[in-house]
Amino acid sequence: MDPTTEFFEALNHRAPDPLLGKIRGTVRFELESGTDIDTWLLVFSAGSVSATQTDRAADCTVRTDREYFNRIAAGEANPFAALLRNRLTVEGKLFLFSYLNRLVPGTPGAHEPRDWVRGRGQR
Amino acid sequence: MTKPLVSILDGNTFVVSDNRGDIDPSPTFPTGLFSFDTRFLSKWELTVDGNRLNVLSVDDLQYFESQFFLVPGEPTHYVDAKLSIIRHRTVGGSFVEELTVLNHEDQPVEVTVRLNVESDFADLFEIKDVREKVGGTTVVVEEDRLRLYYQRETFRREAIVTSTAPAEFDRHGVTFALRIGAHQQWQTRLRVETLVEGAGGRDIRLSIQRHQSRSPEELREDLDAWLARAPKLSSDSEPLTETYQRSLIDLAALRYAPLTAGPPLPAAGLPWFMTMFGRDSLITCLQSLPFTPELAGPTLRFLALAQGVTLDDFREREPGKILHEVRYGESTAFEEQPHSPYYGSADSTPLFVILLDEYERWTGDTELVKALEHEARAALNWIDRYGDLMGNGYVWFERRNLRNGLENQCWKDSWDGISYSDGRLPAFPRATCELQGYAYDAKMRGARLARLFWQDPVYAERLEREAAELKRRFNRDFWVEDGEYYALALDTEGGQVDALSSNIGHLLWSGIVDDDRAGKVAEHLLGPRLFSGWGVRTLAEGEGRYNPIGYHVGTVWPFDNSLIAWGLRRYGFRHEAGQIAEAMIAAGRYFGGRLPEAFAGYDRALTKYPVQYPTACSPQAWSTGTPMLLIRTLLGLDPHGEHLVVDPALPVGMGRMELLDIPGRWGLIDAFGRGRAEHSRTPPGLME
Repeated sequence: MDPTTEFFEALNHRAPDPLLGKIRGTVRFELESGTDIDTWLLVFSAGSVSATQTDRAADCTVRTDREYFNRIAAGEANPFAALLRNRLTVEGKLFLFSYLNRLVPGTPGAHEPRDWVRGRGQR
Repeated sequence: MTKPLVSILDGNTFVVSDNRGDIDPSPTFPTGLFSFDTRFLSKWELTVDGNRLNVLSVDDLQYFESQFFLVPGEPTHYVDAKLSIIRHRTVGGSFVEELTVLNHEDQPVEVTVRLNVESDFADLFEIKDVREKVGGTTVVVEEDRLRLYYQRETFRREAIVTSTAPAEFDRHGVTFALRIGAHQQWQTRLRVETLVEGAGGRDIRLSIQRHQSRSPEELREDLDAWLARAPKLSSDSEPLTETYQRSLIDLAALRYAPLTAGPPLPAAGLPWFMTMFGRDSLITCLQSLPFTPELAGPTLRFLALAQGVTLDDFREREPGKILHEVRYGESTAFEEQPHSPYYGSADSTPLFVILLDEYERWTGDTELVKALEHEARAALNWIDRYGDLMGNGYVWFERRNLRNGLENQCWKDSWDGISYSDGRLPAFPRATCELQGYAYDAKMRGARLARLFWQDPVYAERLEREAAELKRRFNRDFWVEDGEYYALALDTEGGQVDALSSNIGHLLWSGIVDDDRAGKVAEHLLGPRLFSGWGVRTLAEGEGRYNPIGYHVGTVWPFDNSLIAWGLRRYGFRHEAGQIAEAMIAAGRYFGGRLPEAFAGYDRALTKYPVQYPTACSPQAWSTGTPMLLIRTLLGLDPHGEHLVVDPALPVGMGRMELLDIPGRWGLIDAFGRGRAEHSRTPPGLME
């Protein structure tokens, strides 16, 4: 499984999240690899989120290539920077896209602030 | 000689030119047409028969509109008054310039009018430090337009210049070969569209929100409605009325719509900070709540949406943390700068909780307080979990982004902003005093929200207990016994960073000061080392790093003073609060009512007028909010339940003050105050 599949599959096993409680709406992801396009549909509803490989229209459509989305799904690339860079495009309700920030993992290797302070001597 | 600059703006699209209306590339100050942190025009230079023009007058009509009256010839030459030129420009999404050439002679005249046009597509961050662009700029000359675009990989920004009158476009601009009849005129309308490319080659703003170019008429209507909604001030003090009016208009001008949110939010300041800053926007909303409450709700919602959930060193992001800064330029897009968003501030998170509570107290909007419960709890949790870097009950900061993160993640964020009295700089992490005040206030206010709206009295009690402990600890550890004031910060050894600074005024606002020490704090704030006569200096005279023109080490910041005045009022120092208000209002007179970001800390007796800090931003949102908070402070406005308490304390000589139609949960209420000259029980100089 690549990071993209892992990311979407894991969303289906997420505990209900109060931070997602107010969101309702659907986001369609179109991820290109070569001539293929993989589609994923995110459904936000009452604190839970589900992801399926359903091919249907949504409130918000996100397009990028699979390889780049792998980096986003792994926390290596930033979704907002990707949008500004036109590496990824969004059509429809942008606020739904913003919730992607709450779902993707943090940067690999990021430090706990207290550990960072304690580790100053070693840097 | 540098010519004075003229700016017009609409949201984060703005034009800065010289007083002829020309844009010449300048490495020191961002002149140009800017939008979303990108310079779309770096040259926009008008000539007639090859000569630059000479300005007769400039009309600043509205914040989005200005007009230049020009004649051919440089000032040193004979001024040829047979022709005159009017440039009338507006910015409302796109930049529109109406160019009129008038022939005053009784015979036809043949002239060549030319505009030289260039774009360097500089990111705002590159202006002071011009670098070789990674991508390339292409100029495309079409029959009816000039297109300049910049491309770096998939990133593309484009400027499109068109004209309503027939024009000859070339790679460097546009030429009009004219024959104008006797006493006739010629006119064209030039338009510059800025394209931030997104899905399908369309503008990113078009495909994701209701972003539309607004016409000057729509902007005018919007401004009129904004002014009509605000309370009306009538006062014997002309400078006060002037600065209030100016502030209302400037705050309207600084509203901008970030990509995700619908209603507009306050951007921080022209020209460097035309974007969302957590700290600046939150404080501006706090200052302006009694006047323009419509800004606070969208600001809170936007900041909540962007609240940190995970860790990121480059962006200094942590769960629960409220952002510091958002940017839209190339360096952010390519993750060279961390503003996507950047979270490097230790105060925006407690300030978020403070505004949420203050917002409810004024508006009664319990729905938002309930909707943001989890975000507010996450913010309160951040204070203890991630803000407390040393695990000893204080909020600290130390950057993890060593490339371009901010060293000082408090409002005095220049490198030398935090120092010991002898000028040494402390090691990291640092715990500045005002952060502890904000944390205390956030916990107290969070407790109120938990009890009244989140139905969680246990949590409320816990927060209050923690706040009380913090206050006790703070008064033990930060109080400088010899000087009788609070230290600017604590260092990692628990030692006091003992400079005397304006930060102690914020402590009064937060309520963390023990009652029996407040008098000493007030004395210092109004004493000769901190008070210049025009306001409270950021750093006291006599401190090692004191410099009256040092950005955070001696200048006077209006917003800082407004919070200090509010704090003084909280502890009952009505006279002292009035003194600061009076000084600020007097200073405003020298800037046409528009208080700048900062001005020099020279003694009032020395300079007679406040000297503007060289590169200060203006208008600046929290300077714009300053007169509003001062009015609130002078009138003693404070919500109590469903009522607004009015308890005026006006300085002598200010005369009568009326504020009509103050909006809030009570509907609309009027407040009156009058500064009498004698027969008063209050201390000399203060009347009520």
